[in-house]
Amino acid sequence: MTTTAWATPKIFDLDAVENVEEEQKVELNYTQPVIIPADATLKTNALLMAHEPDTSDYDEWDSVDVNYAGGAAAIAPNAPTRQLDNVSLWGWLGVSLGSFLLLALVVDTALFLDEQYDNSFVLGTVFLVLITGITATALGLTYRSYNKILQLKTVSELQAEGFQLFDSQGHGRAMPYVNRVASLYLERPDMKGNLNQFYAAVTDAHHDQEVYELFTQKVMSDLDKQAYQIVVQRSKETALLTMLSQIGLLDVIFTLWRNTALVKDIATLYSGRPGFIGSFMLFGAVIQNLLYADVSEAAADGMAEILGGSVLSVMSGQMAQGLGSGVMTARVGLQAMQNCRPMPFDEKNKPRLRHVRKEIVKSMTEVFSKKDSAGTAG
Amino acid sequence: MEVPEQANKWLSQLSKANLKERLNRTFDRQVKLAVTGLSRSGKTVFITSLVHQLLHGLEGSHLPFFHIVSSGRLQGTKLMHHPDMHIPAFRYDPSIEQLCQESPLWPEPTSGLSQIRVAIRYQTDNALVKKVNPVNTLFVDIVDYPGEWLLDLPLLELSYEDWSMQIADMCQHEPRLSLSKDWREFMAQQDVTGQVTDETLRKASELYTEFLHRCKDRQYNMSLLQPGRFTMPGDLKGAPLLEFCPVLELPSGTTQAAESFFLIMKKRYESYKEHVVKKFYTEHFSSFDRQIVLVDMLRAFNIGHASFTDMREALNMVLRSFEYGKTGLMNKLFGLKIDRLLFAATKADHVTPNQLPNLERFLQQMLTQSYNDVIFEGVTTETLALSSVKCTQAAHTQFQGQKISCIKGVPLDSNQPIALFPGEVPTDIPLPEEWVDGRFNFVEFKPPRLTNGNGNRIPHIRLDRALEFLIGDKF
Repeated sequence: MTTTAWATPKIFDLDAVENVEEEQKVELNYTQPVIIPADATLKTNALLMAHEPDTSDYDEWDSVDVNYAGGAAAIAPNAPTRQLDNVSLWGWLGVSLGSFLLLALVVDTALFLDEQYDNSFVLGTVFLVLITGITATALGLTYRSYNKILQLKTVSELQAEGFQLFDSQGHGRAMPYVNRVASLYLERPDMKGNLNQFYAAVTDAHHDQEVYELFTQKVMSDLDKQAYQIVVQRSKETALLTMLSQIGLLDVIFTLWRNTALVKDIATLYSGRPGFIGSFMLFGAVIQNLLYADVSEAAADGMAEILGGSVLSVMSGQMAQGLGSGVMTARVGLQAMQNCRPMPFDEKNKPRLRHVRKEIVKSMTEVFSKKDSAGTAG
Repeated sequence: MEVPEQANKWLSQLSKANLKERLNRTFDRQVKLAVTGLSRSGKTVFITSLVHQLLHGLEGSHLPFFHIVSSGRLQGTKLMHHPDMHIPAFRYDPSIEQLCQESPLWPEPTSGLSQIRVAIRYQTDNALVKKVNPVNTLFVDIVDYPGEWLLDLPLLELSYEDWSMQIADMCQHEPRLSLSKDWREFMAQQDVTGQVTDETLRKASELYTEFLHRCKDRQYNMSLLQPGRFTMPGDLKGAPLLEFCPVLELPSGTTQAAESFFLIMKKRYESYKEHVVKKFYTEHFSSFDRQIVLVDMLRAFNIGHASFTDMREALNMVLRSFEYGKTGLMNKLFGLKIDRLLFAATKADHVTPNQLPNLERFLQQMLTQSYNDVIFEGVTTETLALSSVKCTQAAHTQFQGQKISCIKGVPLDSNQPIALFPGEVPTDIPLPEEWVDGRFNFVEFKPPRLTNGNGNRIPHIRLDRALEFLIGDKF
């Protein structure tokens, strides 16, 4: 009796075995080349015709038509940012409270009007007109803020899409995107030249990343420079005033005021005036981003000044304080740039705090040396 | 033994002019650009267009990704006389005239060696240099030569025996098997060890040359045709130097006549190497800073798998003969080696724009071997799909109920423009059985009619990015 501990090798008939995996087959999966029949209607991108060898007319460029004829890019659906369940109770409270107040207001107004009409027709009419005016204005204002908020939303949508385009080696998605960004600037006379330059340089052969880069180079870089100048200017102002003022509370109020104005300016530059509520939302978002910013980045960029580790602090505590608040303003400004720019920055052209800081220090030392020389002269 | 020989060689090169040139290159004032490509890959058109774009750098917005131009630091460009008087100048003017005339033509293919030098004057933004010398000049040297000659470079490392075996091996496969029939039959009758007449030698080399010419035929489009001078003799036309051919079988015994077929052929092969290839190599190919490899893949796509593999083999072989990051003492001293290499798929306008990324990916796949080798040596590389002269226009249309993107242009052999979807460029190299008939139909197009005559715009695809990569860091 011999039992083997191992199975002996065997050879099976090929037809008798069933494959566990599908046999590898060469599948011809490709699209056949086609010569398009002569009577088919061809569409070329009118905008891009400008580069084509057989174009004759340069005037077309001026009337930039942003309807890119290429395939509209499907925007990837964003993940829902808010869970309905989490907010439902608070939401209900808000809605019911709101409608209660609104209803009370309406009823109260109606009763009030009724009372006035009872007294005198003229008085009632006057009040009616006034109330109608107030309501209309309020509605108008609300509508306008709503529009501005929508605009902010567009910007953040564009940003999200831009991030996807960064590394895309594909073709055809960037043009519709860039056209949407361009539509933000179509009305602005100062941007017209840049946009024309862009449309003159871009060709249908550029792939997504190149279109993106080109738009950054021709259009956004100018805006970036302006925004950067605003940030530098405001930071310098804050730094100087904080350095010179002796009252702490005044510093705080002043810095806060400059910062909100700064955010608003930058938003206006990039994507149009944000509106009253819009600027508050924006400011909130900027501050939130700053708070949650990478700690190491903050440490590397600004903390040295705030903690008094810089050369200036050795010279004067007041000066260090000024520099600290200047750098804070600069951080708010740069963050605002990132929040408001419809196309996200890539690492290469991201504005750096280091550079702003240098300029602030320079302007402060200038004041210092002037003071100094004035002192010795006097 | 080797070291003094090297030093000797180096010292002999150290003439005054040479030293000046080397210093110029060491201090980044001169770039020597190797435009490498097999025959018909578009070298001449590329050089013509490149020079044209550079000469018109100050005008317009045609080079948005060439930063020296787009940043406005370019001061001007000019064609210069090349200091090497014995080398003919690149015929830029006739080429550009042909391109820009009423009914434009592609420039004549190159039959000999020529050289061109472009001076680029620019403002530096290096803070240190700015103080000393705000306006600098960079000389860009470009050499044009028949692509066939490139294939001689690998011969330098092959003995006659090795080379013969290589050729014999290649002749075992189609389409060479049938194309070389005449030559092989003739060779089979010969006794390579025995005494031989001049007549036989001539006949053998004639048949071999004929075989090479047949391989080169459009129908087969073989690339790996050695020796290169056989198909494009240049100034050596009819020279006795070109009368040799490989043998199909190496003589096994040690006894052979002093004047045997094998020995004579071997001698001639060695003298071809010594007098033709080595001269070409040392004078023009031993020292480059930057290299661009132009590859026309579309023709290979059209013809089939054999043509494609042959081209790949040839390119990989050629690329091995350049010096990338070799660290000899002299090279270290002067830093003269190729440190940037651009793989370019030419004729990018012959595919629909959405296929361009595929074209780039495919080229990279195709040259993986060389690609890895040069990256290992620390060379910066990039892959681009470019078109020196863009002669088609992208369009799209409805075809059988589907939106299809296509290109519009005038084919080389007609006067009527056609619209064409030429097929998809695969991202992976297809298996031999996947190269079926009718999968690709890449048509050759006529050059575009330029509205502006000899004016400022030759439409191109990504020439600016090629320029930026190749010389952009020198500014």
